[in-house]
Amino acid sequence: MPTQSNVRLGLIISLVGIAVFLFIVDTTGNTPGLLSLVRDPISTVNSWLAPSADTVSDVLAAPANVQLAIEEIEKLQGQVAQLQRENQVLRENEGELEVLRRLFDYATDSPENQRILADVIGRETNPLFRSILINRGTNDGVQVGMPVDSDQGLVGQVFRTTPDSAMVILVIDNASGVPGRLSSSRATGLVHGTGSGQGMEMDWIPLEANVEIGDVVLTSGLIGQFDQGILVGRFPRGLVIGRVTEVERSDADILQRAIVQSEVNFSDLERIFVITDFPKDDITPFEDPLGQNQ
Amino acid sequence: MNRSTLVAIPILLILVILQVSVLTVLPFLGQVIQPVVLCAIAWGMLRGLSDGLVWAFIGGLMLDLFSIGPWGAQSLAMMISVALAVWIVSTLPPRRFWIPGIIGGMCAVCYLLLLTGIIQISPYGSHISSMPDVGPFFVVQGTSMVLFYWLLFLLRQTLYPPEITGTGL
Repeated sequence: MPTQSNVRLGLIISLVGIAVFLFIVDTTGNTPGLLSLVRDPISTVNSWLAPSADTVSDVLAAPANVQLAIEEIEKLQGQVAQLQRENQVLRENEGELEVLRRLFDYATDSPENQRILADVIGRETNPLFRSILINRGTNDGVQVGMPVDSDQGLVGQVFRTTPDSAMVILVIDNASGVPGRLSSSRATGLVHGTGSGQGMEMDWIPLEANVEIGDVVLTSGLIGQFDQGILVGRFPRGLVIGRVTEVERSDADILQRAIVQSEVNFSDLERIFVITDFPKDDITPFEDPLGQNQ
Repeated sequence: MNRSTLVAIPILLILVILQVSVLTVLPFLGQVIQPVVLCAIAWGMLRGLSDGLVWAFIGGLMLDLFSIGPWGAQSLAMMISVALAVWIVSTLPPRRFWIPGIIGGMCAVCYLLLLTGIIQISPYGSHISSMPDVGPFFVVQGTSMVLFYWLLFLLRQTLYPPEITGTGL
């Protein structure tokens, strides 16, 4: 019969032996295979139990977390609103940058013309006229008669000025006149507004000139004057006025007329250039042919 | 200056700025609302010929500040329109809600035609082709008139509260 002390001794030896065995197995690198025999079944069970335990934990901690979640949602909503506002500002800035870039490119294409940039701040109150109000005036060097253009083409000319603003009569107004030239045939004429839409008419084109639909009409640089209710300004050569969309020609006449459509969207103008100086032809001999004023 | 004239200056100035900077880029049926013209007509209908003419004169000059047209043209056209409105309203039964709209639309069209005539004889030459379509112009101004008339009616009640008379107990 084994005594109680013998049993205890056997147990101790067994435990020490197992510990030594495990130690030897581990130090020889055979642990993973052995451990996996034990760990894998436990892990499987653990993977079943863990989500349930999390759910139970969440449920037990619910009141505090809901409050936190609400606070978090409010915080995130605030951040979303803030980001949306910033996004809107960035989009506006992007649009503005695009406009300025186009204007800059346009201005650098004709460096011989000196320009100042102006914002459109208002529009005509009289339903019969077509004009805009800009935020540049005599303090900025703007004077009556100065041409006004944009990257889309000729806009008009300065009509009235104050120290900090100016009224610009648009080329589509009935009272506006621009000496023009057809880019293809080089024939000249007078472009004046019709007061409706984007349309203009080019009169006084010689009958022998070949005018075709799609011809680009440019400023001729010729000098005009206020005549028969039309204010004809002086413009630099080569500014785009518009494109011919229709030709009115009759053999009974000695002249022909073209309908010209501007590319400028006059109702959406935001920024324009006032051309403060441009190369002019010397006309003094014609103004004083006998040299009496010399 | 009476109260009517005193309030005319700030109110019309605000309306002119509103028209120049906002309403001209927000057309309805292709037509720009003319708040200054409509308010002058409405005030004439509410307060009589003298006050209406003062509003039309001041409003017209303010509008001409922001126009390339000849000075005084809008004042003149507006004053005649206001006089017409006052005359019409005196011949109609009072307190019909549609009357201000109809008269407003009619007198706004009258203002437009007069203005075209005045410009026609000015050195600015013919602007008949620039004239807005009369039909939509009438509709837009007539509809807007109802709002302006109602607002000015409230203003009149504030400035000139009706006197309460009675024998008492």
